[in-house]
Amino acid sequence: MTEVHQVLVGAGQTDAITNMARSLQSSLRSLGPSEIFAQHPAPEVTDVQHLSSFPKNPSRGRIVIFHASGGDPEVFKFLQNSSDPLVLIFHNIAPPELFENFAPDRAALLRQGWEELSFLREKIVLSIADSKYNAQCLEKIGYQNIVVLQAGVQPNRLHKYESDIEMTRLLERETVDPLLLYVGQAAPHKRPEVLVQMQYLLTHHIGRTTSLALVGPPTLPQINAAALEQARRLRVPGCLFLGQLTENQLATLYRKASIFITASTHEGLCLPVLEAMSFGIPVIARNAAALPDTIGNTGILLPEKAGPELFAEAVCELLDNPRLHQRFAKQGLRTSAEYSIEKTAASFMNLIKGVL
Amino acid sequence: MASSAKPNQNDKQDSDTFSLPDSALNTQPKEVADALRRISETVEKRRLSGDYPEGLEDQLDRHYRQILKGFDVDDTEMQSLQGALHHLRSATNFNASHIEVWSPNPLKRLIHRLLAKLTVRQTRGVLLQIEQYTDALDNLLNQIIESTQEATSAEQGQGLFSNRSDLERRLSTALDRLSLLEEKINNSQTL
Repeated sequence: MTEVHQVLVGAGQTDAITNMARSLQSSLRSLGPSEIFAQHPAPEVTDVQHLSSFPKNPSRGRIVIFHASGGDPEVFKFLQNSSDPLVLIFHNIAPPELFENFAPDRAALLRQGWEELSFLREKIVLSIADSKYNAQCLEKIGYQNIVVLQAGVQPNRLHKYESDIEMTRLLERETVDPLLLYVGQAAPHKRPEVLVQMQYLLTHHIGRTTSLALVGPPTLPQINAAALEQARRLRVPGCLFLGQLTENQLATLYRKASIFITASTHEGLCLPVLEAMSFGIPVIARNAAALPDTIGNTGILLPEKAGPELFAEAVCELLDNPRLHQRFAKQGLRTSAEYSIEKTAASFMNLIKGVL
Repeated sequence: MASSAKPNQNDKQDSDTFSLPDSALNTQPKEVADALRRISETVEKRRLSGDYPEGLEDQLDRHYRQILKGFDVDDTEMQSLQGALHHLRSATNFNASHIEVWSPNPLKRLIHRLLAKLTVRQTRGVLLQIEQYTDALDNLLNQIIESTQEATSAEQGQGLFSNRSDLERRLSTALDRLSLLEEKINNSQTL
């Protein structure tokens, strides 16, 4: 019996990385005790323990899996002082310079995250990246022999949730078809304002009737607040800023949406894109970071610096071209099925057994 | 005061032309490549016909950034101070293992490791003294920042902004309803 515990910087009830750790936990428990620890667990999270309660003296062999997504001095100190074999799962860290002008403290933590990863390099016995792009990022800071594996990724995890009645009513009341959906944090590199400007062009310049729903935690609330204010000043109809939602509410939106759209300039994998694909929703995104790898042939990839004009026209193209819409939808279902947890869990467990 | 939300040159949108590299078009299935060409051509047509006035995207981007500046409550200096403290803390996490001993040359790598082992007692002694000093410094800076923050909060009444995400959500619903009403009024006037 071997203990295999997972360590995260932060943990949230609906957070993508916490969900990945939860998926892996059930497989890891076939080897022995397996718990999830985080330095900053959200108060409502009950299945993740605080890092300070990490067992000091293991009675048997032990492996620590670290999910890297940001910097934290306490987590780093813990990992540095740990004598257990350390496995890294790299989900990428947002480039600090993108936060510099908005939140210098967060930028400092992100910078610290990259530095910590460099220092940990010698201690890591197995490096896993959840996309080719993330593997390339690790290589740039000296990591070698990186395994690309979408460990714990479950694109269809929302299918089991029933639609939320209140959300269904809200959408019936406040939106018109077709619904364009964005799911992601309110952060500077996600560029939600480009989507608001796109909705402005669609409704005011092109004469389309569309709705746009923006969903995600307010990492930097002023980003969405400013986009919302722009929508108000430009009198853009049909823009819904819904904040962080429950799984049932999110599943309702995916069932209703016609197109998933993101103007993000930096993604390590982009789980919401995979979730959208699993619901048969075509994707429109920029050809940036991991997005081309994740999307493949399941949507429209616009140039890296595409503005609202191109986004608006891409929406029109998908709405007016049902054959293309259907093609992307079918391909999305096929691609997302390739990420099945059963397949990745087996590969992941083989890798972990290799460390034992 | 440090200005926030400065336009970043890298953020500038590609408002002039839409040209996908040929390699990108070649790797796409024909149907998708055709769609991308159509998208590009239609945008170009709209620009030529005046549907999209010249510089429209830049104008929209500037408009957003102007609004964003207004949303930054006067805590930029405080954030910058806290950022500097975070940075200082990350730089003061002293540990002998932070001293790089890796080298692409195996012989050099061996020598570095050997030297590190031979001088480990001295290195730890120096690090301990520095750590004690920086702990004291960190406490002092923390106290200064906390006092400054308390003073600033009292001055600006920041309690009002404590639940900003909730405020944002309520505002979104209210403003969205307002937009729909405005649209209905506009439509009825047109009829």
